[in-house]
Amino acid sequence: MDARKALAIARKDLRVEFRSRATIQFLLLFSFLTLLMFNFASPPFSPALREVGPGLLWFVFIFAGMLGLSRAFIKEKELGTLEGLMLAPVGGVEIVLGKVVYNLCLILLVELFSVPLFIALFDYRVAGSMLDMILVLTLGLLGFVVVGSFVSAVIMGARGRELVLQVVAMPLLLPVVIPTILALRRVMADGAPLARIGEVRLVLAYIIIMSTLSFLLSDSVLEE
Amino acid sequence: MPSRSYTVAFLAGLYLWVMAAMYRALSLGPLDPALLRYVGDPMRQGYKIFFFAMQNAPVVYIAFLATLVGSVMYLKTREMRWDIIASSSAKLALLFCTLVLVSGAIFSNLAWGAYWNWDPRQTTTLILWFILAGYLSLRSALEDEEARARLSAVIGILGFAGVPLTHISATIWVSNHPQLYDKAAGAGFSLDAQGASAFGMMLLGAIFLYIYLLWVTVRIETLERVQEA
Amino acid sequence: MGAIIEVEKLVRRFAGTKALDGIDLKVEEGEAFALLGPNGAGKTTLVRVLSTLLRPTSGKVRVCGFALPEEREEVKKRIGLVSHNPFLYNELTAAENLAFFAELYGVDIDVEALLARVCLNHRSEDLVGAFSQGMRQRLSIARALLHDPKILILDEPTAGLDLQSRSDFYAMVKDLHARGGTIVLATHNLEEASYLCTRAAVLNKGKVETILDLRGETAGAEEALGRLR
Repeated sequence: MDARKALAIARKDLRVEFRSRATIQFLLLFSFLTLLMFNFASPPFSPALREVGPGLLWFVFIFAGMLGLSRAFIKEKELGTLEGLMLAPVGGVEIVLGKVVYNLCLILLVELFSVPLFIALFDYRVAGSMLDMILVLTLGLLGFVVVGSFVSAVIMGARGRELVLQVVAMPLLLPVVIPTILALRRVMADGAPLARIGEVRLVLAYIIIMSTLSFLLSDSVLEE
Repeated sequence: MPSRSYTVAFLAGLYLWVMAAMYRALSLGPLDPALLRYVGDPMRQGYKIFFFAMQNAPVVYIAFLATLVGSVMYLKTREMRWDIIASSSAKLALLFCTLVLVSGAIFSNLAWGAYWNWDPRQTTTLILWFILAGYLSLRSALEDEEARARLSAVIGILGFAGVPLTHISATIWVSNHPQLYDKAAGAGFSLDAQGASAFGMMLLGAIFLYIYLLWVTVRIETLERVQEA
Repeated sequence: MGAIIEVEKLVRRFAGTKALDGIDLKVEEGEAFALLGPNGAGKTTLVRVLSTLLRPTSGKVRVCGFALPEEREEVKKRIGLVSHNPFLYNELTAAENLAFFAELYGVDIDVEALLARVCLNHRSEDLVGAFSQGMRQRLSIARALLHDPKILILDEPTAGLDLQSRSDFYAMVKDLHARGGTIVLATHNLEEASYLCTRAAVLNKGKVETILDLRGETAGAEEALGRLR
């Protein structure tokens, strides 16, 4: 594997994205709207929000991410430029890794935008340390991006791919989604310190397993 | 290729075997009264539905394992017969998974008065059902035979590898949930010798049924593809 | 000089039908070879197999002495493909596009000199999105040539080009051939093929109908193609 080639692909995608702003604009707008909808749906000043809030925050990323992150592959497929990448001597691993890095940059931007917005809209007082919360969230997003990017590479040739992606990726993402919600709740509502949250290790283990498999299987996914 | 008469003999044998297993299960005595206080009264005799439900759960894992083996072998050899095995077994895994969910829900309703109560095993089975359904939807959305085989093999491998952590996630999630029903009965539920042998016989019958169905599905799929080509 | 492309009994199935049905072909080094045939004859499928984008279902394919699909990484370093899709990014400038692909190929190139070769040096800082079809196709040639490939594969390269860009394009291909490069051109246009190439394989329904010599009379070729229409 040649990490320079993967980074070249990520750099190229970021440059294209910051000139067209096609995806990021959509992601930010969509997460803003979703947060607003969640806010409308929740009873104001309800004590239950302390428990439910972390889950709502997390689902903003899942909803926006599911729609936005698959664009990285689907766009290249639609424009035919993916074949240009595959003609070059780069393996599937480099292409997938490039897209993971690019998607991670996008979702971190969404995080930067959505977390303060969430706190302001819901008037949420985080019980634990803010840094711990950001770390837990970022780790969850890393897992989400690794699995989501790889699955979107698998489904990009399918009919009705945006729908197929949801159906295939969601169950594979549950070992990231469930522990992250629990861990977020423990930091944000219970104020537990990061070291005492076992769920984080579960996410980490899943990321390692899925990254290894993606590494081994990427060439099979992107071979034609 | 086994001839027709072998098939008939096999099916007759399987039928008799399952009948014997069912007889053994139904002739068990009523539930131990010590356990009955944890569950509803219908379970006095109704607990025997366990023998008609839970023997399917291991079959789901066996069938999914066969999908994994077929997927890995397809990517290694690129021979379509492995893809046929993988996809046929996934269909059966989904079938047995559905059986487990439905019969599990009936069992759960008799025991605790609710069809669904977020038991870790029940939850894992449900997630497994979604993984298998996703695998099969992906297959139906891919037109090219080669791409379908290759890409669904990747998802088959990913899905199977995720099962242990899926189970752990389901378990911690459930343990974070306040339980509506006392599960001590489940923990204290153990089989006596006759019960264990009845369960073993039912399980063996289910495994052989799976093997037979796999053989039939693979045959049909192979013939269909020969016709297409 | 041996054959630079060898194809034996190549079959490629696609969604149940055989897009390529037993192709045998040899292209010599330094040759300009055309793949002729009506739309749907299998030209594009063959080009995609030769350029490593499609895995053969069965049969033997060797490009520059390397077997496909096993040694495709080696093949990729030695071929360049120009198709009707230019494989360029509209949001990047001409120079950025070339620099990006140079990184992927792991080669150091003089971007300005390469752009000068395709007469685009005055537009190197302009976004490709603002380019005309002809300019994009010229940039696409630069992209295909940046790693000095041994074989240049052209798939309907002049589709959608106006007359002027077309003759510019022909001049560039002729020049490349004169320098000893091997050219493979897939086209449905006999005139184009006989202008650029010395030999041609006529494809129909996934099979090689005849091999034509394009240096002499083209009347026979015309007739062979006419029969297929």
